[in-house]
Amino acid sequence: MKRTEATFTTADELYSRIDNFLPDGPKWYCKEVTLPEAPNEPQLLFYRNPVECLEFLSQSPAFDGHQDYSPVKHFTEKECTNRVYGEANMADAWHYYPSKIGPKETVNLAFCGSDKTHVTNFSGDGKVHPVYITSAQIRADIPNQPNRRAFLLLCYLPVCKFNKTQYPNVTQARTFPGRLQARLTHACLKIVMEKLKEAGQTAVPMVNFRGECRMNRVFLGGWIADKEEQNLLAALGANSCTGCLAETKDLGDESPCLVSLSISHFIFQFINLVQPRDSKSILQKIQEVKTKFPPSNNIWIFLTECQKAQLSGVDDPFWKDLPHTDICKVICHDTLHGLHKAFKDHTVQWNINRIGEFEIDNRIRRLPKVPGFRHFSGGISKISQWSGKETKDLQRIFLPILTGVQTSEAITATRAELDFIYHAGWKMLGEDDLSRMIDFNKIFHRNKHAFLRTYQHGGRELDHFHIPKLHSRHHYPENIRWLGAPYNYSTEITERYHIEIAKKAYKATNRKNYAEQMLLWLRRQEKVHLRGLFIRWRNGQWNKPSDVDTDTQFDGFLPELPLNEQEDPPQVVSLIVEEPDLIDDLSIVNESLSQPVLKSSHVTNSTEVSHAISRRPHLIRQPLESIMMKYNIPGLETALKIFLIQSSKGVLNPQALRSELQRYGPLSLDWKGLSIWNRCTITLPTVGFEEDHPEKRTILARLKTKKDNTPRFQTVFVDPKPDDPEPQDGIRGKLNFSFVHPRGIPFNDLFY
Amino acid sequence: MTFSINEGLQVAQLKLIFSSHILTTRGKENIRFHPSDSRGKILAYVEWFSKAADKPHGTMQMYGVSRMHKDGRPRDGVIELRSIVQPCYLLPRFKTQRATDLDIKGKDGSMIRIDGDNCLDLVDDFWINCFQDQMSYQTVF
Repeated sequence: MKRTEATFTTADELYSRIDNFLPDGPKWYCKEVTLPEAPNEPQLLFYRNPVECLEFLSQSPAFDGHQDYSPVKHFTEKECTNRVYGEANMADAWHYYPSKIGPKETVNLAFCGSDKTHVTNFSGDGKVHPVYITSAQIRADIPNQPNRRAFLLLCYLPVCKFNKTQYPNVTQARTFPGRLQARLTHACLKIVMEKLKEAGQTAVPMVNFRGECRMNRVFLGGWIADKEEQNLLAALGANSCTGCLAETKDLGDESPCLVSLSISHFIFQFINLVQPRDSKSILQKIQEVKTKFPPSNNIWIFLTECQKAQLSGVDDPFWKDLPHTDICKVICHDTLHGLHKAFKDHTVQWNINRIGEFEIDNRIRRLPKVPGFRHFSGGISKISQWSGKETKDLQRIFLPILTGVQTSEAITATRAELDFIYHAGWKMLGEDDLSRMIDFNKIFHRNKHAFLRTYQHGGRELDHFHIPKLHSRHHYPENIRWLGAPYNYSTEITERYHIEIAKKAYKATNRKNYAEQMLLWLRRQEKVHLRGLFIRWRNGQWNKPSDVDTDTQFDGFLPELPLNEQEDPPQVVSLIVEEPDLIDDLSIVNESLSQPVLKSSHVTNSTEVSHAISRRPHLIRQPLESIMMKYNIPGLETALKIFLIQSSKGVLNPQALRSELQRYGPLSLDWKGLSIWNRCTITLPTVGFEEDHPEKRTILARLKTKKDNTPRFQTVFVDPKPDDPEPQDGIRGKLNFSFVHPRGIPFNDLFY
Repeated sequence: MTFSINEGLQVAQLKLIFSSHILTTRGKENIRFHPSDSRGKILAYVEWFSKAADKPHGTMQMYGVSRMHKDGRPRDGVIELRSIVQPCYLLPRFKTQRATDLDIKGKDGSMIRIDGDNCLDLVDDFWINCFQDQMSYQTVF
């Protein structure tokens, strides 16, 4: 590589070139927002036009070929009964909006994500509240890679503590700043969403990288946020459910949100009727409070009354005028907070309450180390900072450590919760998967009472299950039907963007009026990124993910095996709803997978397993005897002889084999020297409908090395007849040949 | 010593990946092995675990496997490397109230504490862990 000399000498010069010559992303606007009830605390709102942001995303070459415009329905079988939900355009939302718009218009769902975050580490408490935006037309894989920058920063919402405002009394001074913050947030979002509202009423032309122009109707499709912000957005009190009319005392119920007559003003004939919450019912509730206690008269009385009515004190929610938008359906139930963190905070804690920290740690320490995964050598009770990754690592090993000490109900409940969480992690979910999730949730609720009894080891007593996150699980299936798999809208995405957009940007400032400086920094970053895209496009390195791993060490060595490049498409029948606008062939373009480095050796139907080992063995010409000594495997010689006999004469009965073995004599010279490998990389077959990059696993079989003082011999699944084509679908069928597969077994048989 | 080939998958611990030295000698491009010639194959030496039980554990819904011994030695065998399907993750079975019951007595009478490094070798009974990753979850269930 040739090093090029920089053509600038000072940072100033570099910045001025970036500022003056490089093309810019969507423009930034600034507006001063002052709440009438806090007149002496004006706030600055920095924002962009969401429609410009979507236009910008639509044109970007980085997403070319990864965009979908028309709604589709996928089914697992030809009869079209088991619908599959994955990408946003497979879900109901994308089928709902076309019925509301003109025949020559395309739906463009905006997905927003927001999360308040600290930017200071030790001193002060600088907080920022960024809101991100992306288009659901871009396939979910792309926004999930932060370096692709599919999420644009839409605005920094002002964060204010309202210290200078005069409150009527002490208790209100404690509770009302939060309410004012909610009002401020809605007031700001109303300004930001103004243009989005217009684009939802009249179509906006948007051009993609290929030059195709579509008339887009933009709707707010989803909002990725944690539970606290979900309620803030819905203008509800902290413990209300956004999916149904459940309030605090209903949250532990086994079934989703039965109508609770004491709160609801409606009278239903059937007590078991599920009453979903929607925009209308929230607005109505606000209106009731508003007419009785107008906020313009006395804001403090209005806020108090809102609190009583389980509202957040917002009288003019930003989504009120958004066309065809139901905020309760927009809010996404996320997996990071709602499932993973909830698992750690509640279920793990309940189990620890019963078993005791000491015993749990003892058990966890004794679990085998698995290469590539975290091992909790020090137990878990001393870990104070739990990240999402650690919680997931705990889920991997948590269930079996309960045996022997925990009651069977508690184990059943934990298992059911884990099943629920793992199902929610899939990228594609069928209708059958959703009904299983509902079943798992039922099992959990039926057994959860076991956690209440924590007689043996003391610990914190638990007397209720009024936990919002527990309740929200009832709503995952409907959420998935409406917006697609939770993979599309996990808060993990926004938390990853935080690092770039909040933390790094803040570091680049001098901590004074940091929002402005952060924006300048981000604009420059964005320009440089654009420039990078342009250069890559010019050099023709297009559409190659920058992070293709090129593992040069393992370069397919297995001889005489066919290179199987063509993969059959998975068994999915698609009903493509005809796209109203421009007919394009985007929906049938199959992404060509990056050329696998490895050769295939094992094909099971449409999926394949392949093994790769390095071209050079780690040890060569090792005498058989010394290997048997070093590895402590005295049975190797006999086992090898049996293998050789059986590969020449077929499978023999034990008696015939024994006499053959006696007659065999010493091994031929070919086998006196062996080549040894330490590891093998297996490319796993793609499972189900997930057809993205195949996963790889490295399995180790080695003695201790300089770096690692422990020998590693991993356990594996072996298929005794690798050449046998079996009628099952891929690896799932083949593997489960030996196991009873719960799929397809009626719910009642599954547990008791 | 021998292993009857059944339907379905078996769990095994991989002890050695090897081949005849002929395969990796220089100039191997010139040698064409017949597909049935074992010298042209990459082999693996494994120690077998028992077949998984037909039914999973009642409440945990996990399948148990155990190490197989014969005359104090593990059951072993040589297989082709390509018959390995995917890693199998095992977790020890705790059968009593206390985890320390899992520890074993060494030959000299001292207790050997089970830890992350020696667990696979010293413990006999395991669960097949279906929660290790999504791949295991979807295949083993």
